[in-house]
Amino acid sequence: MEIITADEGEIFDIELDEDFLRRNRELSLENRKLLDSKNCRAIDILGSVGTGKTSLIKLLVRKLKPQYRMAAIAGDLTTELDATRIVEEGVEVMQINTGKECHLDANLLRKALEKLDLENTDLLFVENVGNLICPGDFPLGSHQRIVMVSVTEGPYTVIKHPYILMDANLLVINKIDLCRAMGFECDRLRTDALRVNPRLEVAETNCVTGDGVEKVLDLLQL
Amino acid sequence: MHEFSTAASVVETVLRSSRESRALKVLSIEVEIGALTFLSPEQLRFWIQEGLKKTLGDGAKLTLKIIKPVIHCGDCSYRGRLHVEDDPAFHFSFPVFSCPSCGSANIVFKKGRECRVRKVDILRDDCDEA
Repeated sequence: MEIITADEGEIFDIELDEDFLRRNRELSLENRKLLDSKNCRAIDILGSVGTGKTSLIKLLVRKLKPQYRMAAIAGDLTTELDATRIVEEGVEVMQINTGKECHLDANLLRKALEKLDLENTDLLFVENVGNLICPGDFPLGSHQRIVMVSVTEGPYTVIKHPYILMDANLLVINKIDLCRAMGFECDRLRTDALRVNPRLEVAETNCVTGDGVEKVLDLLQL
Repeated sequence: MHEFSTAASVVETVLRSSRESRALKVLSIEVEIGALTFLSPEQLRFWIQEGLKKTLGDGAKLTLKIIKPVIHCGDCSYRGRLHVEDDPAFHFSFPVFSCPSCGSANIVFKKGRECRVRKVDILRDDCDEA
């Protein structure tokens, strides 16, 4: 910290450079290093409450079980509902309860990573707290980021939340079977997403029947 | 939504650095917020001011400076502002995360994601030092 004396006798300027978000970014890089050192690939999943994040993880785990040793981290405010559902697929799951915080951060993830058997994990899914806003400020150190929206959230979800797509690799549009009931084409969500972030890959799913999951695996190169 | 915890960190930093410099009072605080963060300046201002009540920082002038995004293009080396598309159909604008010069999506964010306390002005007790 540098202290500079101002012209006025007793008034001082304290110059600081304390970035509250930078500390999280530094921790996320440490998480990435730890994951790399264990040859473990991490994929985090962001999306609103009820969009289908847990259902997607369950499907991916089911499909990939013969090839990968997997684990999952489930972030939630207070419950263990999501973790319990993923455990049913027979993989190790670590629950992170954030209490009242609206997002996971790199520090919470680090604590969970310390408890997981990373030596024996090839692939790790990290499910964030249901929220399309705050998690965007807190990179976790994962290798790939999926943002998930569902048709039942309406036609404007993507265009209302453009910033969440900033660091995303893949957009999954879920519940495509409900487009007709909702009265709009899900192409609209795809078009909006690509206008905001032309780098994005886009997949459409129905996580109840499993339709479209092969495409998700393909785009994740799994 | 994480304005409260961010404001709490700002207040803690301001008060810690002020005490370390033997402040009698905090006169002004300058905070920088990147436009690409998910922080609402208005909410942040409210919670910082609440947190400073009945402390050395009560009544300090609080400046929130918004840092505009700057990107660097990995393909054509463009460095500058992001393109913001204005869509009359939605009556609002949204950012386009690609190079406004060559269209490449291979971009890096150089500015616009920060949230920092830049400067704190204090009134200091010099009597002890004399």
